Amino acid sequence: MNSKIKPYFLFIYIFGFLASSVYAQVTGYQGKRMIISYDLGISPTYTYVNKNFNNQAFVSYNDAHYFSADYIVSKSTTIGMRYGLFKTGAEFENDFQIYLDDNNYGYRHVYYSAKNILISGSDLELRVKHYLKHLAPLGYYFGYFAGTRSVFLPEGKVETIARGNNAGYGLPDKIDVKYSDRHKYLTLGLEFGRERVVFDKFTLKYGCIFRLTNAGDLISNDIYPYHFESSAKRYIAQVIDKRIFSHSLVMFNLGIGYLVF
Amino acid sequence: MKYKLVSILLLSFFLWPVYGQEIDLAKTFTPLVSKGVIPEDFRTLSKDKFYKDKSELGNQDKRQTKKTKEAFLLQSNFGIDNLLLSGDVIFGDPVTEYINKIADQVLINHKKLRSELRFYVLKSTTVNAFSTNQGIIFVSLGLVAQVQNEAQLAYILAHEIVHYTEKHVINSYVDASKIAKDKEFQRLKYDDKIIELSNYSKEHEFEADEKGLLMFLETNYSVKHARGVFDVLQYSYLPFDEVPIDKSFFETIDYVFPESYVLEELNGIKVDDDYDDSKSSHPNIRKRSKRFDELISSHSKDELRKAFLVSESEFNYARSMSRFEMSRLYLIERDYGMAIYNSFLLLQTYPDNAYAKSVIGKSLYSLAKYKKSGRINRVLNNYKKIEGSSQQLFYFLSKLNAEELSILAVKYLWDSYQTHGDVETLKLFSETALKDLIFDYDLKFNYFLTKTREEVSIELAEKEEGKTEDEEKELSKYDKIKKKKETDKVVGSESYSRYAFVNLINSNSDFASVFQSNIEEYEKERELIEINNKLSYKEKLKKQKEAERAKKKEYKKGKSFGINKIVIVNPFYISADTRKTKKIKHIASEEKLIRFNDKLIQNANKVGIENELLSAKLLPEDDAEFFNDLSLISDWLSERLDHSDIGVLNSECERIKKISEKYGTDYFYFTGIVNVRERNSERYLKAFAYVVFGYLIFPIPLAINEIVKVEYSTSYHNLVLNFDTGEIVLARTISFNNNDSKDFLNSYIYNMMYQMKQKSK
Repeated sequence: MNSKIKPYFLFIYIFGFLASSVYAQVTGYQGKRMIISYDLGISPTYTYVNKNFNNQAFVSYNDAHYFSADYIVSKSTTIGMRYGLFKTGAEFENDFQIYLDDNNYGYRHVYYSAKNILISGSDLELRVKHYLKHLAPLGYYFGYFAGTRSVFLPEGKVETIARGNNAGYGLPDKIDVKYSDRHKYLTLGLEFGRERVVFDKFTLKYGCIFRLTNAGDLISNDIYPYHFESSAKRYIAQVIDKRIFSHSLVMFNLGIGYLVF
Repeated sequence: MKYKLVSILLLSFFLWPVYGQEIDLAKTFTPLVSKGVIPEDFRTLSKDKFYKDKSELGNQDKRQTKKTKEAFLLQSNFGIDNLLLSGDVIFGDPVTEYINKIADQVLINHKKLRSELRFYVLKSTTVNAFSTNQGIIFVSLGLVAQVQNEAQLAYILAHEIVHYTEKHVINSYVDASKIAKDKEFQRLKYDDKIIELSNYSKEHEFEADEKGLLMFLETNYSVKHARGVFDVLQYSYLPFDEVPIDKSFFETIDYVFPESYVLEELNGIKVDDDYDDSKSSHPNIRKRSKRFDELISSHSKDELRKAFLVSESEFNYARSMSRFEMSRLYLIERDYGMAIYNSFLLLQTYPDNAYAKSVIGKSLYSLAKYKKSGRINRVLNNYKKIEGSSQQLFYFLSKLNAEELSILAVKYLWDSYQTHGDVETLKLFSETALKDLIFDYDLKFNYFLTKTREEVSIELAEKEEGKTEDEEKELSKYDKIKKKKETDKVVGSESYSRYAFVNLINSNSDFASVFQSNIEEYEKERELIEINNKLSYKEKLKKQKEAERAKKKEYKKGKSFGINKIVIVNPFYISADTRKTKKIKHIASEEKLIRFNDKLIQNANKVGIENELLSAKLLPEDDAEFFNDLSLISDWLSERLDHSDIGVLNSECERIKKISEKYGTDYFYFTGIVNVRERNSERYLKAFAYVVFGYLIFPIPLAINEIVKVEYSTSYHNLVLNFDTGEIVLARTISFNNNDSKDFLNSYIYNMMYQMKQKSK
């Protein structure tokens, strides 16, 4: 089996098992078991920038928008899909040394004149939520989820300007490194929060989501040795990975749902 | 002459129903029920009564006094309404009507006051009457059952009316709270505090006695006859009459109890009328009667006055009805000794009354069940503490063991059923008691003798006659012992139970056939038990595991009952705040109850379960039957819950079956919510944890929420009973630490109804 497909089967198996093991009498809220909802996710930027490339301590935040459909499968459990969209920014360091060629023939410091990259992404996740004390979808819940995260970098370029001692080794002062990429990650996470029903039709919730991506393995890799351009791209990827990993590590969410049937 | 004839005709028309029912009492008794239009006292919401009373308070009082009065009005309005709607208060029945007629006589010169007052009868065995600030005067059936004449009732009413006119109830409350706040009072010991408050209450009693007497003297009732009321109060703890009873009441020629079941010496009646009343709200009887005598000493025209102004026959009828009600109430309260003695007293006047007999039979049957379960102390008072003639009965009942009691119950019930074959309840209890006797004690048909004691004695004598002296001499020691044992089995004192059914077996073919069919059923059940006992260890284990699996499945799935229709009975709602001194939020509770009623109906409809709501807060003006149904169900439920797991048939199961038939379902749903607001003691700790663990800034709203939010705990109580079998189908309490918000309640109510509606797969 393709190693990329394997994890998906694992999730399907886990959720399938859960769905079949919870055969308790199901009522939902007054008989309604299907809920579609929208969630606004807010995550702190920590030391990074947001989609507007701001980074003011305790003020800047990233927002994300999630659409989900959940089905109540037992008295206190729902299984659902969640699709989310987000945008954030990544910031390059002003001064960074990159290698000039594959032969490790010297290096040069560069400035990135276009130091920020706008990152767009989407999440697709399968989740299970357990309502701890009450019948779903009411009260405190604890959930876990798994899915994929797709990140899209819009086409752009990074201008590099040679500086320092290595300037003038027959290389142009300015090199444009073009980037346009799609990155795929796996996500795994936990969430908890509280939900209630209003007017017998809508749900309101607030909570917190902890999401891990598998971006971490790239972060520790050294860039060395790479060709200048690939090295630059690699650097960009590294920056993106770091950003993606931290982007929704902790996210607070506020949501509204509709009890469909 | 013409007018005389018309008068006689009119009189006979009015008296006919009374005499008609008197004749009925000779045969049977029908419990008192409310009739006619449901009075406004029952239909008006308590909060509306409170707001009305509050608006009438005026501004003449100081702020603190006004506040105290408002607190009193709130508590008293809700408290009295709880009593009114409990099912223990009746209206429009013959006893209430009669009491109202006496009130008309007492207040003949006080028309305005009469229009303010309402008189109701309270279904209670206690001897009591009391007045409320709202102008409602309650008279207990226990009191009506004990009084000797109408004048006594009139004096009691006059006394209670004075409590109303002098506003004793509200003033007592206001003054007691003032006293309680007094610094000197606060320094007193607990006992001294009680004495202080009691002294105040006693002053009101003397005032009510005195002014009540003045009001009484305005009528034409005899003072001499009214004077006896103090004797009534003094001996009110005793049954309504003193008639000797012993084992012979239950005996026949063949069925004779051992002499050891008779108590040789009975306790005397030791009441002291000059008892220590320092901690009592009422002065002692001697003080009251002395004061009464002083007041009437100048009154000398009693010869022209009468003991009865309304009607002596109506008095007798009301009193008899009350006395029959006593039997019923003792039975429901599980005071079986008193139920038997009270019914025995009634049988002295109405020897053929099926109701009194059925009460005795049911009491014996219940006593047998309680004795078998080892919980007899709950339902039979210690005979040593009983005074008067009834002590003999209590002694006799305590001497009988469970099997003896069970045999006696079967015999008494079947004998009564034989006489009153048309009484359904006797049939039901006779058959149940017989079945229980066979199943509980493994008694075979041949254990009971079919020959009379005389016939058996003759047979034994004939056997002896045929033997020569030599044959007798030849008997060994062991033969003699065996012979003695054989003889004792049929004529010894311990064999008396074997003669219990001689008459029944010989004269009632039904008895023998029901006996035999129960034996067959019992044998079949025993066979099954024996087969089960013979199973190998593995097979037993397998069965046990299967049962455990089924139990787990039921726990996960929830129960499914497949109920198509339910009757929701008198839901309750208690909203409280434990942080305050007045913990119950009466007004909020009532408002929430109204909404809860709506939610129950809405969710039942959503689930698709047919339903009817019997709520005391939604009484229809012209449907007294609705109120009576509630009252009967309330009595039945309290008795059923008291029986717990004893497995006793409820005393009024035949009446409750009619209710089931009327509503077209056996399933009755009792439910309610208790919502308590509590002190949030850990709020700062929680808020701190939120901020620390939530990266300082974003959880601040959550932390603020933790600080300001209020802690609640809510419990949702559910009980579904099958009125046909008496079985508790569902008993579940759901508790959660949240407020009683609409979504939580809807969710749980729907789920509960869904479980009722769903059928097991």
